[in-house]
Amino acid sequence: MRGHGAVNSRCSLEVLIDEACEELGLDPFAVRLQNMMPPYSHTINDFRITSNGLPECLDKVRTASRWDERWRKMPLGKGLGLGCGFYISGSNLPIHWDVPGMPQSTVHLKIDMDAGVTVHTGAAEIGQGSDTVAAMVVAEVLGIRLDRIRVYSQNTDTAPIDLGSYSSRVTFMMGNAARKAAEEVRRELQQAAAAVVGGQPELFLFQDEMVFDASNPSRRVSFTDAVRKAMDHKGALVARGSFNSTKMGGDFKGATAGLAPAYSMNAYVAEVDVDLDTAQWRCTKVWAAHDCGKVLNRLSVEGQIEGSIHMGLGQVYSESLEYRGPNLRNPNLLDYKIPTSIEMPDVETFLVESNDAEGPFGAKEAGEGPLLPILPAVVNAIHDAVGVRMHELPITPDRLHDQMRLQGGWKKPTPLGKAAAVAVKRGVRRP
Amino acid sequence: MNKILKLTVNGVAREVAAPDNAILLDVLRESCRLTGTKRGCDMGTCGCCTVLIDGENRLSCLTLAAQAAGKEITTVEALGTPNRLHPIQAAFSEIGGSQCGFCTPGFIMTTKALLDRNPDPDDKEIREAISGNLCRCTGYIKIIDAVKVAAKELAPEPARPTPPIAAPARRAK
Amino acid sequence: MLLPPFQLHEPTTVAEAVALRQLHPESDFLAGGTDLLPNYKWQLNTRPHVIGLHKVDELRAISPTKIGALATLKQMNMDGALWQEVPVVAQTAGLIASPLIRNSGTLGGNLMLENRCFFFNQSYVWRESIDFCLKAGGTACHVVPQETKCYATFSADLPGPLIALGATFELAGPSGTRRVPAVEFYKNDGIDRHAKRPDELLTFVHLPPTASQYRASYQKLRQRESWDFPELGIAVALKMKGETVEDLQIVANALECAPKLLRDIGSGLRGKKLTDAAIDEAAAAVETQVRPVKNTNLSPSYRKRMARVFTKRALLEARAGGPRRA
Repeated sequence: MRGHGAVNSRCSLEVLIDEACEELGLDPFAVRLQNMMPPYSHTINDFRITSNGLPECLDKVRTASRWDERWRKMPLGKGLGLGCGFYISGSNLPIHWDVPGMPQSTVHLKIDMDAGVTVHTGAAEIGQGSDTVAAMVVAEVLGIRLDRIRVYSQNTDTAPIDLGSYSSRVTFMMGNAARKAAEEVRRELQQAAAAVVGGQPELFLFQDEMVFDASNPSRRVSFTDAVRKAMDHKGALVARGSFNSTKMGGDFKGATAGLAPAYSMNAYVAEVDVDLDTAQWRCTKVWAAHDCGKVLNRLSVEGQIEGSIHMGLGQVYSESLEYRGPNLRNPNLLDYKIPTSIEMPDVETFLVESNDAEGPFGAKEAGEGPLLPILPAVVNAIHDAVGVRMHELPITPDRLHDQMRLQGGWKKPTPLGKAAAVAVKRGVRRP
Repeated sequence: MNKILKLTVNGVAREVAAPDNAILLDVLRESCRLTGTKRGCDMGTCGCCTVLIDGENRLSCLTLAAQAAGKEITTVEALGTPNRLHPIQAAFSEIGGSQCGFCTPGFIMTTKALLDRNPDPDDKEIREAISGNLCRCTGYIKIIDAVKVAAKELAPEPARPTPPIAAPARRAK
Repeated sequence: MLLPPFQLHEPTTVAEAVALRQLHPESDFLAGGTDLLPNYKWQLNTRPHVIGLHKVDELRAISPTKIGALATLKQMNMDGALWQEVPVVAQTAGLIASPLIRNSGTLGGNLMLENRCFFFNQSYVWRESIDFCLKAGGTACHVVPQETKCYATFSADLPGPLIALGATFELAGPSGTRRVPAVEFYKNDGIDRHAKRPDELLTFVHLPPTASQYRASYQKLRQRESWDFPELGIAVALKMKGETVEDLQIVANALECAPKLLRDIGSGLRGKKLTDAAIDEAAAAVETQVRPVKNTNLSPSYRKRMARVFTKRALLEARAGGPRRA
């Protein structure tokens, strides 16, 4: 499952923040904005934060969901909830720390006579679109069409070492490695182009399958001709690029856990509809804003966000591994209940581009992070709808109905203004 | 003990030797070498193995090969080839209705059955029609979009000839 | 998963099917296969002979008074005459499992659906690890450990409305056919489940001509809108005479080992107006009369409470005229 380990704790934390906001009479959006780490800063436990698009994420979903008009004001049974999250763009600590010096990602690149480019990587394409990312990064550096590029990523005989598709690391780490490999080839091609048409090699730019001198664009050769010149008497152009994250983190025990070269940020608002008779509920709409730095491929990022929402919604709606002693009671897809197309809510996606200084072209992850906020957003929305605070997942109708009975019925939570007045009376100092 | 079954798969009449307990999915994958149809849960709860039997989308994992004898069986191989995708396949590919791809043949066949009987389904009808197929990657949204795009593509227009379907992609050796 | 080896027989008539059953007492009938084949794949009570009914075309016809056992759930759900005369039957067929299952699954298969339980619907290896259960090769029940009775839950939907509407099931056996009222067909036991003798085949469901005079409703509780078996189902059939109730049948389904016709609650309302208060009272009475156990996904106490909610919904829908085709 995506984001294992982070999902549960993130859900608990976001629900706790919502509870605190309620008790203090504070707006959940304002609290997050006031307490957020600014971009390019360090946390108290020495996490290095680089780009941070959370304020824009919050702004997008607040406006789109019409939060200020509707939160705490919808009829009993209907509610909105906010959940935020962040996620590593690749674990800083390599899983092979016993092999010193081994790169976290390596990409090999080869260009032969036909000027076709092959990209070799060990980053496994598992449907998330990492082959596309590899091809797009190389195409961008060399200014060539995508159909000139073939990516070979599934064969361990030909792939260079890569730690694999986990910890949402592939775009950031493999993407940077691919960029470096392409840049190495680009330097050779600059030399070749300058040798053909004259000029200073480092001034040559790559665009639309052409290599041209920026100071005199009429000095130009086609990409193919540049390749042929570069190969003269040498054979295929071969390059490699690798990625190693820099050393970071404090020097206390456990300081390396959870560190990453960059973090994605996100804010979701979920809308729910609770059946007051049965406690059955539906998530009817999700507004999802995700900061993945530069969006390399919009379709892929949207697909990752929608898929994450489905997977996360399952965890809050119906999915759980039920054990009876050592036996898993529901080891099949009938009893392990993945939501169907009918349960899937409409999703409105907002992509926030904070453009990270170290990501490939500014990109960060969009694989696992987008799952995190949906769980607390739904839990908090159920609270807004019926005033019942759930501390156990999944929120099956029997659990929700039991909790309602314990609390003595459904009840809309106190509106913000009134809650604030009560908090002040209790002596809570307001910012 | 094997019996000879007469199956019509993707328009081609075949004779296949299979035991009495042979499941259609196994016969398609093993005997006919049509591996486009996927084995997912094998228990009727995921829809990866969906094929058309006499035009109706059915679970090939819960159908005996003998039960399909004498009927028209259509698998995903009949729709298109990588270079010449069927409009449904093209829509799934372009819209992002497929990520890891394992459920995709099942969704494609369910979509085919849906659009054959209802060329212009609305959102609710699509969600209902695909609710026997499970997808863990996409969250269904781009699948639903792809079905809508495919419906538009396939809508009969007087000026344009209907796209070619059928023609078996591969033959058994 | 491999199916166990079996010899497949393919009769073309009911008479042939019944004769084959007599010839091979160790056999199962196979219709749509969506219940039997998963159970076979899990090595649940498998038999060396399987009598496939897919060529017995005489059992496919659908009419509002007589439905063949091989009519698929999809055909029933799409049938205009059924929607016209007994809409609840057409509607309920469309509430079962998933569209793909309904394209294969049949009326007969739903009526004969094997009862379900966490400790039964598992692979052989899984069940072996708990020394099996009463229903398949074991000596103890894991739901109610002291019991010698099996508590597997009745999970078919169609019997609910069919019992409420007064349907009868036609059975074909070696000595001819007989009819059993649906209400007498099921037994409240997870193993000895029904009145069909092993050598009989369920062939037709007959609905009384008066069935179309009833306004009926079936309310099903399930976690997902697809695939899931009922956590409970309440069927009601209501016949009004002017302002008052002439006849009311309420069936609580999927809560115990068999559907339960709650005669006294229905008959208690005869001759009375079906007011909101009367509906609430009847719904509360249903809650007190059902006894679910913990072998489905939602808790028994919740399902019991929901019996009241769903009875109320069923009665309200019936009072308003019953379901309409979407």
